[in-house]
Amino acid sequence: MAVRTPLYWDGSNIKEMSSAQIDQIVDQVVYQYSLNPSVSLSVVGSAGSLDSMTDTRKTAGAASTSTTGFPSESTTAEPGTVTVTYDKIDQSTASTSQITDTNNKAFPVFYSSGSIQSMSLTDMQDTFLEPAIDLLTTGSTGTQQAGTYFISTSSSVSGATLVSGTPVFTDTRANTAAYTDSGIPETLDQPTTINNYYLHRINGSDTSYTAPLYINGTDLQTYTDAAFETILQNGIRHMATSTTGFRISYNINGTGTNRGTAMINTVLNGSGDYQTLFVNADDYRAQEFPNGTAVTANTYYLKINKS
Amino acid sequence: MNITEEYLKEHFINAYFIDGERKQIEILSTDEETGNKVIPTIIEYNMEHPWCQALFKIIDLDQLHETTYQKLQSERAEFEKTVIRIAKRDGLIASSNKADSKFWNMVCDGIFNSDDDDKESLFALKIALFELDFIKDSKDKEKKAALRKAKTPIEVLQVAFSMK
Repeated sequence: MAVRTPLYWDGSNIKEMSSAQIDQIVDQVVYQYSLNPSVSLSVVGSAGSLDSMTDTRKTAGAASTSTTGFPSESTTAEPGTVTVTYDKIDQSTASTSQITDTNNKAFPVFYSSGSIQSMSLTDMQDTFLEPAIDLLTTGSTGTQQAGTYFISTSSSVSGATLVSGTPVFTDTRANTAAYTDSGIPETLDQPTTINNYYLHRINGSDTSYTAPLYINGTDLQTYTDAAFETILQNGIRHMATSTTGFRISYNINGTGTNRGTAMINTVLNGSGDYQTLFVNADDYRAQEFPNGTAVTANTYYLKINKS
Repeated sequence: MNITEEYLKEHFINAYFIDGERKQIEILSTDEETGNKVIPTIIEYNMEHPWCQALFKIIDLDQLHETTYQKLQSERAEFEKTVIRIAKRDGLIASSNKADSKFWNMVCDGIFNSDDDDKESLFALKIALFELDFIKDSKDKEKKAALRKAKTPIEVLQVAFSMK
């Protein structure tokens, strides 16, 4: 581990950066990542690479009829269960290349025992890139996590971009109000949507920073913003996909930190509401409707992990 | 939306546990853009997570248990109302709001489809009528006797109507 203190030109002297100035560069690394994330999520129709999630809901049992009297509760079909599988989150990893330390002086300089020396690739990683990965993979969802993803029940979230208007998960339950005895035989599956869950990507914020010095030939020179930002972007993109211990990935309910709201599958817990309908002396009907209170059957978290 | 102390100070509505194990917390907040939409967010009760840390800066664990209790009570009351509503709809209990219930169906059924052997219902009808002031206070002993001796709900009601 070699965290360096880069040098910069303050207009009249060469100075070592403060920790606040280094933090500003780390924030710029995050912003650069947000401009072109190397690990991205998308919403697909099916067969996404992340684990699937299931939404279950109760349905009415099949209606029973009799010409002599109401079918008893014991002979009337019990409520059933409908299961919908959501497999819509797909992860893709970009092909990236390691940043090149041309002539061992492509990176910022620092004081070393009274002399000025260029940072190595490892120094770059330790000083700027690894702290950025640490920020990117926390549970917060602010600008310091720009370019990463989270789940919300809202389709419009300040500071984030909706990845798709298609929810990645929908929690439904039987709509008990839709089932009436006068409607027997009722349609078995009459759902109502409790919540939709949407995938969002956090927007970046271009923060100001002080560009460090580097060795240009035999001179010290301040990086142009474009040149330094290219190094930072390529570096963070490659680290996020390829550096062991700092690779970013997403999963459902696996290892890592929760990102956004949990997606919950709620279901009614009743054993069935037995109802009858007298149509005429030759037509007696019975059916069991979904009932009970809502309980959580499954809880799913989108997680971000570094490994 | 990033759940922070600052965000919650402006947008927090309520929070409570949603599971028996008390590991998942639902936070209700308003959206940042309009402030009119309620956004439910479920987080893990995990003090290492920044969202959970932010929540506990504006509400403590005792308050969270209290709001959970209040919510369960509210849900129970709502459930009981639903049961009563269904029971009234299905004529299992009489509604005070006669227009919205099967009250008159029950009355008609009791009058015109009564079982001749259903002495208990007939007796109950007579008791109910004798509780009415115009019958209870009536001086017409003959009609009161006729009402007592009536054999069917129709006969009972015919006597009662003649006394009004």
